[in-house]
Amino acid sequence: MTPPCPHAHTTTVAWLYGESPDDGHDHALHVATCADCQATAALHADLIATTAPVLPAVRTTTGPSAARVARHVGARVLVASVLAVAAALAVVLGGTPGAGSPATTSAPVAQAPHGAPARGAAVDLTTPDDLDLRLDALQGEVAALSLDFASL
Amino acid sequence: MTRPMDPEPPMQALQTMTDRIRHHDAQLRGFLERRAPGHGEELAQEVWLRVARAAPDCPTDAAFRAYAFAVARRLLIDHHRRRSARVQLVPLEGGMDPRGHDRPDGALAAAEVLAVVEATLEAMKPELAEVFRLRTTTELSFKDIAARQGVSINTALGRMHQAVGKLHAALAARDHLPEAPEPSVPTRGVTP
Ligand SMILES: [Zn+2]
Repeated sequence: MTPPCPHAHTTTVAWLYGESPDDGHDHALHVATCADCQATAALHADLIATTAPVLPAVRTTTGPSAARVARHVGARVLVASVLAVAAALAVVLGGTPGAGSPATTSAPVAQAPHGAPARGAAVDLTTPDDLDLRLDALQGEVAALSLDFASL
Repeated sequence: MTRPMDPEPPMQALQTMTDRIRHHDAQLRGFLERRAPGHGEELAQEVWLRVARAAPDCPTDAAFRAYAFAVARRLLIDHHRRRSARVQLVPLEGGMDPRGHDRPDGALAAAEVLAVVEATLEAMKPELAEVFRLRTTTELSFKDIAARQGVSINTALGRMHQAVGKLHAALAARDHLPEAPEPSVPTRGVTP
């Protein structure tokens, strides 16, 4: 049995999308004589032609899907909430905070940088990256405060 | 005073290429028109221009035809990608209606294609879907995408091919793809 052409999944794909040296003249000659590479060319050309009308819509969902983002956000908010509860417990069990200490359990969260909101539910869902940065900052603040309270 | 002239191809070769272009022109136009409605004519002209410039040494007519269709498929991808990059909203014309562009249910077909594409992208490995999305909807090259994913360019190319294969299979299973690719028979006899 003849092994598949090594170009069919690599060089020919690059050639089809205009990414080959010398404008792909030499590779066009190879594709014209290679059954595997012709099949690759047909597969890609037909798929792109078929999906062309909807590709702009696909573009708008580039990145994690809404469902994935929702799951991700849910998990991150849950972690932040657990840390906040831990911080609250540290306050209650560790004694009375000194002067200037936060008066309520939500106060430390409200100090998150970049204007991050105190509660996960109010997070502005802009972009996943932005969201990650905000949640990272939020978690960092809560974790640091809980350590501070635990050491009191 | 004489000025230097570009060397002309042998008259016999020119005759042969002209004959071959005439012979395959109608089929090539039909092929392109089905995949890019309203653009078959201009794309066919571009294909023949490129073929004429390259002047491939194709000893047989079948080899010449295979070469022309290879160039045509490459141009089709470029055509649709460029158009897709310019459009901001979902167009219901300009690309190939998978079941015939003059059908009244074109909008429905596009919606169905989108649903299949989204579901298939969602179901495949994220790294495969990402390569397809980035390469078809942005100006990022495979080299850029490979760097972004921290993999070799061959891995990125392989991921693209896998993603396209999965999407093709999903759309074919729902009768959203056209007839079998042509030509399907390997052609011998083309020499650089
Ligand atoms: Zn090959």
